[in-house]
Amino acid sequence: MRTVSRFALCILLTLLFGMTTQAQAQEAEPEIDMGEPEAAPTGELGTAADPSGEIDSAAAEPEAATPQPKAGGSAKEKEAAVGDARDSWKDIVVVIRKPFLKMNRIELAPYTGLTLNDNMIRHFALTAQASYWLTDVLAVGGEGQYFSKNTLETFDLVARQDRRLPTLNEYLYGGALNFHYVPMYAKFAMFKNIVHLEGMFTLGIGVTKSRVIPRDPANQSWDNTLITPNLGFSMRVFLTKFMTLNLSFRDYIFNDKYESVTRGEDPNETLEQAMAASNGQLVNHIMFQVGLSFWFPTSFRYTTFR
Amino acid sequence: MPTLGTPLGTSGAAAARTAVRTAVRTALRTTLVAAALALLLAPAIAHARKGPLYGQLPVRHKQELRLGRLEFAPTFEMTVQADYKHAVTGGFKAEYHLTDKLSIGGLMFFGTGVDTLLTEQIRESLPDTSTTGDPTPSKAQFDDHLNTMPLHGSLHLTLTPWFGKMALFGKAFINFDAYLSGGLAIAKTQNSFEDGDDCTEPDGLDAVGMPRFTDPRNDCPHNAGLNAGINVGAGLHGYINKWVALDLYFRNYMFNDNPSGLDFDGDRKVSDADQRFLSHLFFGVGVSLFFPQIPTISR
Repeated sequence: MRTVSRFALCILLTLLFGMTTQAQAQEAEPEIDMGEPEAAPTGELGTAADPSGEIDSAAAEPEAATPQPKAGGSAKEKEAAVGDARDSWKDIVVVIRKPFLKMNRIELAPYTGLTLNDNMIRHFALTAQASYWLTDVLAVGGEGQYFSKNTLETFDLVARQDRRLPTLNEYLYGGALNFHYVPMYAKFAMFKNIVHLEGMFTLGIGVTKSRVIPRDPANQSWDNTLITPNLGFSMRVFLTKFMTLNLSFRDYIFNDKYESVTRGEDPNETLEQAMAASNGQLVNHIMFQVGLSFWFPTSFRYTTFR
Repeated sequence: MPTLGTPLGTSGAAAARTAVRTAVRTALRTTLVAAALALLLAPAIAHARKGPLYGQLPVRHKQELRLGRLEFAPTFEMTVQADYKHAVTGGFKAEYHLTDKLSIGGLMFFGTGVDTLLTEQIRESLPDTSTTGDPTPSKAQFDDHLNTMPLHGSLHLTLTPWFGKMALFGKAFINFDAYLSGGLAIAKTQNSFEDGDDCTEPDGLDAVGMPRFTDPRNDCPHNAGLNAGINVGAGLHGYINKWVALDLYFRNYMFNDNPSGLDFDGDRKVSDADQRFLSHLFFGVGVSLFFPQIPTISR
């Protein structure tokens, strides 16, 4: 019997301790207890006075923006209405804390992407990106890319219909040092949930390795090392405290060297001569990329009041 | 209540044991009731910890920027990644928003064709006149077979499942929404081939007297006319104020086409069989005007 009693007491103590701990955990982080909202008086937005909840915004907004003291009412209400704040949660502007903090965190992001603006050859890219966030809106980082390619229908059609062999280069790999800046922050409703996202601009400089695809397979190809500035825009959707989904458009700009259209006319032309005769052309290699970011440390602490 | 360790008499021992049992039972009952109450209250405590907004509507007093409104948008559209001719077009979009998320609408565009860089490069490399025995087309043959798209449009349903607010540089705040769209497409294509669009000229007779086709360059392009198909699109509105929004989107019009107007299937002649179901991707930017100008407000 004593055992049963002790067991029961233990349960009680455990529950009480647990409840106390919960309460302490709440108190450790100061917040305002707003309680249940009071029923709004007749005439306010979306109340019983207007069950449909739809009213004209032009007429409604001035009242909603500046609460007016009610006519009549008790003496206490009249006193409270004269120049001082009412003790009501409705007068408190609710600003939800940012759900995701980035400052002093490291972002590791694998991406996959493909070329958007070339109807002859399409490159697929596997990208690894690492960034360190100096502030919540500014980061510095690096990326590395590995490309694979396939030719498209137009490449074959030009050869078959117009008897012209397109001059193409393939991209092998690349790397860049990037700066990121986040000027846009947004949230949207989706399936009764609020989803947070942000828009980010990227500016960077790096190197791309390209390889000439000889029109005549008997000819030798060569590689080009190209200085590559890049700029882009990304959207980031916050999934958890340590993971985000990223959609990105990037423009990699370089002056690529292509095989000369006269290559092959001289059967004794050497590779060095072919390289010297190559034509430079400014290329905007625009890619669409999708990736996940993993953030370290995997959690963060707020340092300000809610 | 006996004190622990105190010896009990024989007669008082039973009474004392009974008293102890009763006390323990009372304590046990009290404990169990308290535990049950605590267990019942625990979810309520947990619920309270989720905050006062738990279970509430995600957005209250929302300006209904779409519900029951007519959207009219003068719009500019241009092809993305066209092979031979970019379509540069202007037109309008009209859409009625049946609900906040669903709308029905149509669009119509008129425009002209502009050479792509590929077309310019091919044309420069082609001879001025064609040569017998060399299947390379002349500049004129190449140009005459290409088609352009002077008119296109669609009838579609649009789903707008996402709407929200955006802060720019922490200063400007705008409403936005993102939508998906799909429906029927129609496009008028034309070419500059002088002898019509539907002819296929035999280039001689074979051993049994049947027409033989060896040169597609003298065949009509078979790529002009009115084409029906489907379209899908996705875009977003950025609301400048309560009734004006910037509309940005991509829309893909898919229908049977043969943009080069030359032999595709390798039978050395041009016919309707050379057409295939192709994508025509457009980027559009428009200014959407919503009527009535003042939106209602949700509860």
